[in-house]
Amino acid sequence: MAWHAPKFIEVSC
Amino acid sequence: MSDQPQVVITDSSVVKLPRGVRLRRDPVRNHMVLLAPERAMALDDIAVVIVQALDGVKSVDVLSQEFSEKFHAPKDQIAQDIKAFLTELSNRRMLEIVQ
Repeated sequence: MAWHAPKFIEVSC
Repeated sequence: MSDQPQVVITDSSVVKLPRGVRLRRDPVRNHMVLLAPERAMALDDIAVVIVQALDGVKSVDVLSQEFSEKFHAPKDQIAQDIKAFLTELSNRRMLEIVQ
């Protein structure tokens, strides 16, 4: 695994 | 306009997940989700590594150094990425500032 900017998705209802 | 003060995450910040915020695997989509009351965030692999390292003891600077050695990447870039990510968590009340 290479370092990269962390990504996320807010899961809405 | 919000009257909520913007938390500033610095290299010396020490943070952890607050009570009620947990990291769980979503068996349907097979990815990790950060669960909080009335809120959830799907995380990628690096975001999971960061969240798992938030022990309420190590500072952002220490974590950046450890990740720099582990991933063979520039510490400054890692620190910048971590602080940006933690700021997003803090803005969503998914982070506890220990100091």
